[in-house]
Amino acid sequence: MAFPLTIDGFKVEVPEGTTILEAAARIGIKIPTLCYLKDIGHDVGACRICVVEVEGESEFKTACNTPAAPGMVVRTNTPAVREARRVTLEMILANHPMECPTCVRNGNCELQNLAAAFNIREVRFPRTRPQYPIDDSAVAVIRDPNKCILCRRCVTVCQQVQTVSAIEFKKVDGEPVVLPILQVPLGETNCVQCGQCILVCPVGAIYERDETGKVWAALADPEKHVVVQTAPATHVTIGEAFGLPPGTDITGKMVAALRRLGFDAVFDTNFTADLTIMEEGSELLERIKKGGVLPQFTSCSPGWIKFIEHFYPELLPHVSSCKSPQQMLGPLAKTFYAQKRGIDPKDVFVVSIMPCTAKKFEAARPEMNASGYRDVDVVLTSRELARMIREAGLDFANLPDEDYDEPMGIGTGAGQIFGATGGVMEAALRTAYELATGKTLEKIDFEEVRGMNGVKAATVPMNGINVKVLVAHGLGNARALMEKVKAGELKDYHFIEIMCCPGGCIGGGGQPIPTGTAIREMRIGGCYARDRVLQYRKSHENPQIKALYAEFLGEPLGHKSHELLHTTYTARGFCPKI
Amino acid sequence: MAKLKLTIDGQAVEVEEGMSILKAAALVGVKIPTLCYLEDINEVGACRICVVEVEGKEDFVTACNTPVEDGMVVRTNTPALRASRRTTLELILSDHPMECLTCVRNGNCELQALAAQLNVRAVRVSGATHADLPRDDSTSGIVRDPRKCIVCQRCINVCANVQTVGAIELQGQGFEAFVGPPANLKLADTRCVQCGQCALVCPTAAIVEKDDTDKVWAALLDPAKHVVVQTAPATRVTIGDMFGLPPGTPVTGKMVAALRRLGFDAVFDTDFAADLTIMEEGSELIERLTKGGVLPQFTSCSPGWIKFIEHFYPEFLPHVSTCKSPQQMFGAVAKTYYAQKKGIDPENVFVVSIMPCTAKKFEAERPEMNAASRYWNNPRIARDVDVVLTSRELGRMLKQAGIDFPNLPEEEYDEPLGLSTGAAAIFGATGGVMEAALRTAYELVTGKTLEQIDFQAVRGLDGIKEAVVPMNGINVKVMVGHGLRNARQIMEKLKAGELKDYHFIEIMCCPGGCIGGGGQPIPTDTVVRQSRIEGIYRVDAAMKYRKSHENPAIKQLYAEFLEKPLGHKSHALLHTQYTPRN
Amino acid sequence: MSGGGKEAQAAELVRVLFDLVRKESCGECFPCALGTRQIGAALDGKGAAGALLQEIGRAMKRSSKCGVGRIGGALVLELLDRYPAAFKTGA
Repeated sequence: MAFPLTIDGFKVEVPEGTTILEAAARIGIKIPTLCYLKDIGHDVGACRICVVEVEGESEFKTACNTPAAPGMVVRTNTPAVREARRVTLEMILANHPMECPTCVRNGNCELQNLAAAFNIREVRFPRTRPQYPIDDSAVAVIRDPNKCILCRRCVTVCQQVQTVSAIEFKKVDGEPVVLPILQVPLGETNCVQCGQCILVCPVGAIYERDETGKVWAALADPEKHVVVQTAPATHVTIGEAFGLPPGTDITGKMVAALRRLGFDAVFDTNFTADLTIMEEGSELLERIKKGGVLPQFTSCSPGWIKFIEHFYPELLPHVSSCKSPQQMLGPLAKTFYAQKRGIDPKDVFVVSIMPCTAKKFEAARPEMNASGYRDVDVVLTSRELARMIREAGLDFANLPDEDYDEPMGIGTGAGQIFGATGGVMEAALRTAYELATGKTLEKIDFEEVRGMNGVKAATVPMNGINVKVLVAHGLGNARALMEKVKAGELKDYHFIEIMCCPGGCIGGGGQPIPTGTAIREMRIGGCYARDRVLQYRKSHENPQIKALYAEFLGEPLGHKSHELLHTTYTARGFCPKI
Repeated sequence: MAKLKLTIDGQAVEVEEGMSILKAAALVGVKIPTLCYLEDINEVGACRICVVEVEGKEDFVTACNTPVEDGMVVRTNTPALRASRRTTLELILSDHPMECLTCVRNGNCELQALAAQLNVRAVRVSGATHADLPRDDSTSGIVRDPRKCIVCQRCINVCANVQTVGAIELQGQGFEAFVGPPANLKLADTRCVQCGQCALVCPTAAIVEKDDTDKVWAALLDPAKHVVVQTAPATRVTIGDMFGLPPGTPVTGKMVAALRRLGFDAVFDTDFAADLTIMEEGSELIERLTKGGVLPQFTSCSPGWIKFIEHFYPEFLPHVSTCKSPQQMFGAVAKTYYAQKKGIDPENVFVVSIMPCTAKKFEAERPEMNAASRYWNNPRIARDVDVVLTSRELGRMLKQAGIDFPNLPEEEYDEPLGLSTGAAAIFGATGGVMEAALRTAYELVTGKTLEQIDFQAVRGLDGIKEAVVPMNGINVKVMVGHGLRNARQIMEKLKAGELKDYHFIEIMCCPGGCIGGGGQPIPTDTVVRQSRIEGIYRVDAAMKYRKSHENPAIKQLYAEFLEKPLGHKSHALLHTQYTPRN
Repeated sequence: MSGGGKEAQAAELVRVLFDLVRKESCGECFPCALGTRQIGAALDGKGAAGALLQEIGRAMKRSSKCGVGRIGGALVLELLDRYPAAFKTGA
């Protein structure tokens, strides 16, 4: 049922359930907001920046969470409203460190933008909040409570979307603050380091550990042979940091940029995504054949792995023993590639470009030294790479398209779609079907497992077996599936893909900011668009993968594979231990 | 020219002799970071941010002003260079007020952007030698805050070389050096014409327009005030820049809609008054031609140019048309004709101008700009124009009000001062006043319809343009100059007696005309100016009326109120005189 | 300045009332969370004064999410009106 209301003298007709904020947007009035974030359902009305006057009400209403009502008369820009917004913003600024030029979010900060829009030329109030220490106890995610404005988006995303609840909002010594649970350092909590809190933080209060310095140093070291790998999801997101539309395929430009930064070889994690499919698909077929633990869970997403280690350690036998594509490329670079090129593996330095903060944690796991060295030396997020490219002054959008280096530079369309939720499943099905049946798969697009629905299901007949699969993304959806597994409700399922981040890796915590629902959808579109145009679209058809097995690994699940490409997990249980 | 071969970061490139390393690097996709550099205006190598390594040279060289050499091997991104750039930037930041969140250039600051680009995460040195320098808000249009000055010298060079005014200079030496008027004068005590070109090139907020938005918010609040607004020709192709639209996008209708949403009681157009200017100034020219007046006649729309000639060439003031600028004609008409027609007490009419220009603030404050007060013999009517806002200030008000500018509907100006022609629109571009005048003068003089109304000869970014137009047996010779360096050249020729056979000369203070005015959105560079000029001519081509004398609202104004061009009321309201200043 | 008996009592009352508001403030909405602290600073003689405190009071009174901030804001405005001296010197 639509009804009319009046906003700033303009009549507007809206359907029931529309907020004042949305109604105003329809007539070209963007009521300013700060804490509000629709994509994660965060409309707690904390900041009171979006206050408006409603005729007949003595108090202001917050436009973000007040539904429009028939006949309502709203004024969004009266002197009283302007004064209230300004005072609130000024009190925020009074407590915010004035260090924009040295802040990691300089130029991409919602508070900075709001201050500019409000024309505030002076802060007339003193600082009233205490000084807090910076928490850099976690491998990947760093918190600076001094910059925190207490919008609580991070709390909502951690508690509601990811169901991790590593951080909370509370009053400590009479002062409201966002802190890790039980006030322990973040590194001692259940935090899976997914970085979704970073994506939603409007300011520089939560950010990834910046490791660009280590990479600059390695690039400058003549002893080092520095190789780099680029995750599937980065192929369609890095361009955003340079003004290109979300989902633009910038593969060739990224390769050119990495070469100009001075990397000695530019490889593609898509190649090891294909390798993952060979190993993980073989593992699945073996589990099905030999009566192993089913359903098998994917293991590519390090946030998901840390989640199951903390919250469902009893289900770890379900998880594929395959390492993630990042951790497959690392040891191959220091064995297969070093050997092939005649380089001392101690001089090979492996850098990963990842959409992900949790990948930093993954690379730092003690067991990730299959090559005899740290398999991956440094993990950079998409944002960190963008920063390096910018500092080097590379005109990214106008770079020529260049190709990856041999012998780990070819990735198939199947490898590319690893970046989107459902992509690992689809890639696995493309290969498993052909390996299991010996027949060519005609229709290779598995539409059922694509898209932003939280949990997706499909059934694929293979040699008389109806292979039943499930796909979930975002840890809230993962948790729901785990509860079902625990309750014994998923006994007849064979394979479950879980991605920690909403939308899959294209929505990872290391991706360019903003990363919202609409942007995630465009990036997913970018992954499938690239899949469609690649010469090879099934992992087992990748000629470099064939060569790798022929020259080095032997066969999937073979001896070398087990040594280099498979791993074990750690039952962590709930942290901090109470 | 000879081609040279060199290597930049391992990539071979072939370029023309004389090209800088900076430009050569751009050809291979490397944008070496810069700060003080501004193409053609400031290539002094002051900031040392653009340093690069050249094989065989011990010291770094600045890429912006070092020409390439054959066989040169250049590296732009070594650890030593990154460290050097970062240290330099930290030194600059150590002497820069950390007040981004309350700074008018927040989000549009080259220093802020460079700090982000170079990933500076700490300032490890202390400096602050400029922290105590006083703010100078002595002028009507320009405010200087030397605390925020990074001494890049762009303003000095644009003032001295592009505008040949030389109001500010480098004072003192070394780390203590600062930019300011000589002998510790206040800017208002110099020959500064308040063109604001310095504000356009300032990378930070060390030079900005005087912010008068609070006066407008207050007037909009005051129920007793009838607040009307006029929008200069050049603003309709520039305001969109501040909302992410491509430079030159015509946004006339959206601007009208936005102003209405801010609460203005009537939204009018300076273009209306531009048409009126053509009627008066064209008639004046014809009179000078037929009655043997002082020739060539100079245009008088550009307040920076007027202040320039008052300071530097006062002896030639009789050449300047006595017509007020469109802004001031509008103010006078709004507080007389319009107030009378609407039955509003002229005391309560509050006139706000949206101008591309900082000098317009000075113009509106000239003591003689109170024609309505004299007309009504009422001292409580103070100024013809109460507040002048630059394009940038309007953009800020719209952002503050949360107006979603790019998605606004297109709305029409109010009657009766909202109707205009394409001839008025082109006032915003260099050559436009001349072209508009020719369109009308031709028809008034010859009584014939002008077929080819586009005078291409006076369009474009050439510094000085000329045309000859035959009218009733006279070859009318005209000249157009923009940017005060070109104006000065013309004045020197006039002084030397070389322009005796010219009839009409248009001068615009700012390069490109008003679309390049000192109050326009930043950045305003040559490419942006070109796009805006194209936008202006697109607006012209789409108008129903394209000759000022065909504007029905102008005809009505003369019929109902003014009677005739150069008539008694015109003289009282629309014409003025000038002040030799030296 | 040590106020006379009545003034000093008023100042003490202001402080007690405001401590209550500050304690009750849950910290979730900004005008109340930040405003109560600014008022507290003012009472300690370290903060804003006069018209600025009125601005804060008005923002708290009409923008706050719940009654605590609204009452806190109303209280500030009343107290500023009746006992301005309590704020000027931090009593």
